[in-house]
Amino acid sequence: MPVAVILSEGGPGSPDVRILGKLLQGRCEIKPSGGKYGMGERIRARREATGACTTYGLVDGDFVQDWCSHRSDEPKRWETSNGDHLGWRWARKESENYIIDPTVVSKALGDAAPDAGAYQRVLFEARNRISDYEAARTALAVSRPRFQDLPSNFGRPRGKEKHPIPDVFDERSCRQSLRQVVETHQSTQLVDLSLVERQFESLLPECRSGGVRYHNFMAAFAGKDLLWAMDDDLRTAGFGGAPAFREKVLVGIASTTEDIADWLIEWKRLRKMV
Amino acid sequence: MKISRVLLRNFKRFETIEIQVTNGLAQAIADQFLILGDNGTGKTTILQAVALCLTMASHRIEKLEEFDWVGWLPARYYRWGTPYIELDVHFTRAEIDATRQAARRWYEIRHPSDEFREPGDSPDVTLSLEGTRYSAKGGTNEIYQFCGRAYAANVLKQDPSVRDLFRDLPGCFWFDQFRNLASPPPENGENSKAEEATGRVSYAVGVTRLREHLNRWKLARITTGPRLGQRLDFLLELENLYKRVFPGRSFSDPEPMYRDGVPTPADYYFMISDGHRTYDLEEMSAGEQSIFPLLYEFVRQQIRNSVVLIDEVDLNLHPPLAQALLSALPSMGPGCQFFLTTHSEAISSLVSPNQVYRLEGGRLCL
Repeated sequence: MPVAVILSEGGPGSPDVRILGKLLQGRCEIKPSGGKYGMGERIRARREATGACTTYGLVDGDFVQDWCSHRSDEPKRWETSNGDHLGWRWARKESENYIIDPTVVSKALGDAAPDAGAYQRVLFEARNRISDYEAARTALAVSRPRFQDLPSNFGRPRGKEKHPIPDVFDERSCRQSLRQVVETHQSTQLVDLSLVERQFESLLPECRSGGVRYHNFMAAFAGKDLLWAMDDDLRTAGFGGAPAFREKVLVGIASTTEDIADWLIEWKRLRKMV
Repeated sequence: MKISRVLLRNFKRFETIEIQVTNGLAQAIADQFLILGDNGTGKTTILQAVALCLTMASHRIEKLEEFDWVGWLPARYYRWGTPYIELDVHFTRAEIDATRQAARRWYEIRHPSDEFREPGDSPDVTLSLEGTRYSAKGGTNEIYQFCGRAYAANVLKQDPSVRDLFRDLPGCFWFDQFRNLASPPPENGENSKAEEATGRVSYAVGVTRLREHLNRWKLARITTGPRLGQRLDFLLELENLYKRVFPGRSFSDPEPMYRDGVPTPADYYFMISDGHRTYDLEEMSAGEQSIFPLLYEFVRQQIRNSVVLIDEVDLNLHPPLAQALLSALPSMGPGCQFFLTTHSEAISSLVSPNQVYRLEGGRLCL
């Protein structure tokens, strides 16, 4: 059956919805659908209401437990345990992972884009700064009992969206925060701290220099974290900080006369799949 | 040309309203600006005010009666006092240079003995219309910055090379909620007396005229091939835009109407293929009929770097098509600034929340 509607994570005007709208150019309707939890149910409900299997969903890549079998340039098929095709999953962690991609930044901002070399350096520095934190986040995410509210992040809320991110990213601080997060949630769910810590320890080498996640940080690390880790540098470079930079890129994507499917392999593949 | 601020006083339902047409987060003028509101809250009125001010300043019209927007009643213009419209307008270097070039050609051809009054070169101009008097802070020369298309259009017949300037000449274009295949205005000299009086033609006349124009382009392509150059490009450009908004559809060969005598371009249907069967322009769906005039005008008038106002942008469109149109706008008019109104969630959900203005009153559903 053709795809008539794609439910996207995020609300009206969210980065996910705006990117998808430009990418799919009316091949189907893009509808904001809030969070990913319950999206499967919403897809089934729409299919039942329309009597046709034409509604699908597109959800974030999120933190992958086994990175070695993960392809970072192709959306993954999203299906239930009994093989019911619900939609697709971005290969990268979230929409910001695409927004901060050097190719996208350069194409979207055109003449106003930062110098490619300088931007690459700032991006690498951000990666280096948050690598332990990403191991901690991934450890929390993969230890989370299904549909429970153990957060996979911690730190001070930033920006209008109050995205939490710590001020200090080192291993010791991360361990301390992991303990706090697990302890805080012991009343509502049973999460074994030692298991989380073991996950963290096993993920550290993957997230640090030489590791597979470090190498694939544009997909494996959270784009929002990378963006906020570049906040000061972006401000210094005249881009007004992380949220303003993201908005400028999104505006550039919306205004471009180019076909953005040509910008990233994964975008082209998603267009083809849909 | 882009607008960064709109101020209205005593204009129709608005005593005073000021709108910043900027994306505050990105710290830039908004390329796509969406005005939302319940019916009767004044969305169309804002578009009309912008269009009226720019159209008068650009010398396209001289009298209120000539302002061609369905539902515009010039007799009620002063009903709430003397209307005042103020716009902060930004020009690019290329737009200023093209306007100056067009002005020079106009003087050379039309007024060779007059002293040349060069348009200004201000990147930022505050334009105002008070009653029917327009002015620009900075002086008369700044007003001429709005006249580039008028200069070029006036000498196009004598000097076709000015056509190349249109790409950089800023203008103001609008598409009201009553647009259909009869909306595109006639080419020079084709309008009847009745049409001059009403500003609009009957649907049948408008469609016939549009079909004839398109068939001229199409038949020229079939019979004379690439020698027609410019016009051939227009048809190709139109078809590419059409296919972008309506994937899977394309222009097909004209079909004769089987009238007596030697056939003219008016004696052929302008055919479109949906991939299975063909249909004539007049058989288009309501949604296609609301989009086609836009596409045609963007191509015919080479609309670039202009302010474009589209009322009810999703008019008669299925949600995916409305979204297709929205994403195609930058390609239709590169460098343009689009003011849009809508009642459609399919549209509002794809626009940055920082580029949306919600009018007060009524029920805020979007």
